[in-house]
Amino acid sequence: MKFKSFLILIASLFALVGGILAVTAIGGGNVEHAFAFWGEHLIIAAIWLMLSLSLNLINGCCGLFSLGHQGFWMIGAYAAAATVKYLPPGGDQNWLGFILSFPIAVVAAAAFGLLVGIPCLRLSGDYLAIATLAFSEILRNLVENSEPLGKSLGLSPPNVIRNATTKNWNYAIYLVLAWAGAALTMLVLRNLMRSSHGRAIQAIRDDERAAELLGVNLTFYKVFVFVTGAAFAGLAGALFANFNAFVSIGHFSFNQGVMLVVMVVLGGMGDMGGTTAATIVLYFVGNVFLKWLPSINVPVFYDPTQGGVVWTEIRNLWQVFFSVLLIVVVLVRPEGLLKGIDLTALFKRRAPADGK
Amino acid sequence: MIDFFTFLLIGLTVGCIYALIAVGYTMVYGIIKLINFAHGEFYMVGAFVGYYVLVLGFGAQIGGRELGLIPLLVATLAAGVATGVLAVIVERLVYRPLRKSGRIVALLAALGVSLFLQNAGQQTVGAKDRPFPNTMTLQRYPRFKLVAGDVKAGEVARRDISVVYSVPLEGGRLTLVENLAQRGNTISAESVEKLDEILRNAAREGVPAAIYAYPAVTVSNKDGIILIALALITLLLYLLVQHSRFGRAMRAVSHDFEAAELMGINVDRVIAGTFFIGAFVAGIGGTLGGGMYYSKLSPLMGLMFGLKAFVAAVIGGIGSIPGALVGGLALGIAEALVYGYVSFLYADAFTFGILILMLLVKPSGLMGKPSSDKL
Repeated sequence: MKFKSFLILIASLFALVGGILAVTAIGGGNVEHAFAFWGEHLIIAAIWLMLSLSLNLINGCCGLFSLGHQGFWMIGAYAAAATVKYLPPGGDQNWLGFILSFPIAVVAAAAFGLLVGIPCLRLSGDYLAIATLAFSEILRNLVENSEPLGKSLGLSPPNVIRNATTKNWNYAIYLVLAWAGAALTMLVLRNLMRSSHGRAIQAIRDDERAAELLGVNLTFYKVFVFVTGAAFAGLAGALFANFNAFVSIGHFSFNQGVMLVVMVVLGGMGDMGGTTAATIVLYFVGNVFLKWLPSINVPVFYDPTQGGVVWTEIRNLWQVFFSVLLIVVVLVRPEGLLKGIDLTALFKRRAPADGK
Repeated sequence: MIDFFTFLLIGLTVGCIYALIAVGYTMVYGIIKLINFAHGEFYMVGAFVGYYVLVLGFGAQIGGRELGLIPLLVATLAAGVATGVLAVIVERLVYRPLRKSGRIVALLAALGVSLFLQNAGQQTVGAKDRPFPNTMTLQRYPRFKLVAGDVKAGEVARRDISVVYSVPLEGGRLTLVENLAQRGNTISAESVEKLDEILRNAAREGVPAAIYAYPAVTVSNKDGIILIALALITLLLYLLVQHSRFGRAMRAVSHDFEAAELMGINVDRVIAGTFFIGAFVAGIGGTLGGGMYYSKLSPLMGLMFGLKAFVAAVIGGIGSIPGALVGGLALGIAEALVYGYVSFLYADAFTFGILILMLLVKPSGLMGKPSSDKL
């Protein structure tokens, strides 16, 4: 998908939400309620966008297939949560902790990216995927048993902004922060991929040995890609921890990592616009639009141990549909569902057929 | 030292289950260089097929009569065949069209199949854990028969003592084991009373009851079944791979795909057969391991267990069948020792730590061939 297309997509998303809020206001509905609902989803969507774009750098642009991105996210989130909670002076209004939590999360995640990146230099392809998965599972296991990090119960840092302002301001401020973070991620990664460094990274994806022969420093770029991707995931983690005011290992399971991979794959590996679109569509379909479906029960299975025919609500089949979609896309359109689609074409005058 | 042997035995049994799954990973990898992420889900499907055969075919009920060996055998074979057929279908629909694309694309497809089986399972059989039907009561061997007079209140028990007796149930009977005393503890008066009551009831009902003393290290009947199953499968795999036409074709395809095709080997059939055998063994592992041994079935049971079996395959050297067996046993024993002597909390970190170490230090594994292409 052309890069500008996703700006159109995001603009239409905000226009849609604005429209819904306006309609609610005119119709005499509860605007505050609607704002809280949409505000929260837009904030979390921006966090997912940062995650999928940074994974896209590793998986899509550089071709280092990582299944462990949730680990970087987790490091960032826990580092930020621990900073806000434990940094002196502490308390409900730990502004110092809040401000420092962002750089600390980024540095912690980037350091872990370095830790993962260096040993993974020796691996490629599916072995790399398994090794990154192993790293993130080890991490989860260590956090699960760490007393200061709350073991499996999780960590609840105070939400500094919420405590200092009102509920509405909280959403408004995080809305700005999260989308600023997403915009920063897009901008930095887009400029990176347009620079000579970006071309070196793409060369590694296309043919590692050829790139090496042409003088691309494989060691440097692979580690660089891991560290950069991890840093942005760490930033997303810091936003998540501060906004959610609660982190637990359940938030960073393998399934979340798979979800991120699916976003990158459906968007078209290495295609930032496509990844953006896939992230937003998958997030909103899975978390918002699905809940609006009428509750229709469909028979899915016959099981005498459960008393005969098993019925399930049609919205519960989303996960099944989603996995079938992944298989079908890989089979039919391995370059990604959205690769090469150009939304800006809608706004251009159609060129003559011969193109001259 | 007694602890050590106990841990070793537990590890051996769990290792056998890992080995049953690792065989499929390694066979598929050996022949088409694909890490079949969905293989752990084949283990899950196998466990559920075994469950349904026992419940629907043999009328098993939770807490009901013991089914015995023959129903278990039927369920295990049915699970193997059903899982094998599923694997062949998956191979035909998903992996075969992708054979010429890159390894990452195939890995993604495998991830998709794995997700599909997990999610479809959660929607159909439900996400809750289910216990496996009671095929046999856990009994320990070797054991020495005692008579009622040997158990006296106030004496210190030199060995673990228990009474094994049956109660009649609709359509059969249920064997129960009541522990009377532990080695080194004093035998209490209540234990002796309980024993007397059990013996009296058994005599009245006309069912067998016996008192046994156990040595420090014992093997259970379930351990035994799993060990025997692995030994049998190892033997059959050896005969199949080394001494059959199909095995020769498989080795040829694994050695050089294109040359084998040129020599007139039906590569598609060989690959489908490999998938069938790998999943057949995993299905058996599902019914015996996930079902009979752990007795905890859920659609997500294959995820972690499958990953650990993959670690076992890497330890042994992925692509090598003896390697998968050795790797499975080694991982099971290592894990049991960590559980026993260190902490069960860090078992996952330990297992995945081994994986990373292995991939970095000796990616060809204990028994694999060093590969020429860079990993």
